[in-house]
Amino acid sequence: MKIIIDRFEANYAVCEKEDRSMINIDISQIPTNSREGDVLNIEDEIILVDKKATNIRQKHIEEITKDLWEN
Amino acid sequence: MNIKEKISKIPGFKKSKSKIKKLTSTLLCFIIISILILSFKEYIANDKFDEVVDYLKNIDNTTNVINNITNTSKDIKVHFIDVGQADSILIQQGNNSMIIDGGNNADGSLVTKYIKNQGITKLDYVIGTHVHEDHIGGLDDVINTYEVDKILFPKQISTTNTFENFVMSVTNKGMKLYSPKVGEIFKLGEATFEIMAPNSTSYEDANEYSIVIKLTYGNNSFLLTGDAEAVSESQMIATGLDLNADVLKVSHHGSKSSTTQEFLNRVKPKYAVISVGKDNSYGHPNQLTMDRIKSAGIPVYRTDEQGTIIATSDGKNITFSFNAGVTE
Repeated sequence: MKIIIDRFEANYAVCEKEDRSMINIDISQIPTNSREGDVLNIEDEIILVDKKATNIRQKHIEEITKDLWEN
Repeated sequence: MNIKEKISKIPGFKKSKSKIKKLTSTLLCFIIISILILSFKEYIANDKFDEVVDYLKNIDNTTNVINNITNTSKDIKVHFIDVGQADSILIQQGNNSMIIDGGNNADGSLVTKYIKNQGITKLDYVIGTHVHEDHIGGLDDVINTYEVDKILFPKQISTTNTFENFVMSVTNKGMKLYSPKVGEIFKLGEATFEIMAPNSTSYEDANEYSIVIKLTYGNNSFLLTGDAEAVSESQMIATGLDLNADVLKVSHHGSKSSTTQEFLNRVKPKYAVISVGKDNSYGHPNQLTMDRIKSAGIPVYRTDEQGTIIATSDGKNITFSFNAGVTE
């Protein structure tokens, strides 16, 4: 399962599932270098940052927001 | 064939004749209802009139007539909609309205329905304070549903699908975002709002990008802070803008990283409002923040306790009302 870190609140990473529903994951369960916007890969209860997927998402968002602001 | 028959043979004649009849009777109905209601207003005390308006609001056919009346009210209404552990603030002044944040992803239909129930069909402004899901989650639904004049959003992006949905709702409308500058003043009917933050273009913490506005109506003002934290608060103090306000929307659901003592001293609010979910997992509002507010003797209204909180101002005085039953 792939999820995206939306934000950190207290002891939790608040993550977005593929169906846009949200889950709290205890910070102790995710890699210490995790940042907001990282795509996390959860397999057999092991959570890793999916750097490739994160880069793809980052590039895609940069592309669709290129001319988004009028100023 | 006489003239009458000839005329009746002209295509569309009968149709337009009945249209005119329909229009005339609709107009007559409208005038009669208007006269009835206006004469009601003459003879009923103000609070009783409000009761009558509320009653009539439930009757579908009169909705449009009633909306015209409530919208002519000079008061400004600031609705802190109960969206659980999230933010959504609807502001109305006369026929003008705006929304700041749209709750979580799951709150989209609740927020759009709430706007509709106020008789609003168009929003002058939509403000997304910053990228987090508990602020922009329901905004795509709002933008997809209503005519919107201007969308204010800081220069900040996120990789989430929530953010992508928000972006798509903007671009599908052929619109762009506007990133406001500190000190800029916007008009909302007879009210104005001034941009107080963000005072920088780069922060480590995404919350610090929050657009903060000071809404002013007559002698009353509201400081609406999004999730701005201590860094942004100290910058707001440093810019020397007048932060003093009657109502403070306590930043970041009352977290400990916001609402510093110095900031509170500058704002000197008469009332504090906290948008926060019941039994949330994050310990919001933080006890230290609550202590700072309470030791200053400021009454606190919370959406987890009161439900939706509505602050109404006539430009001189602010009154609060609550609607616990607004959430689904």
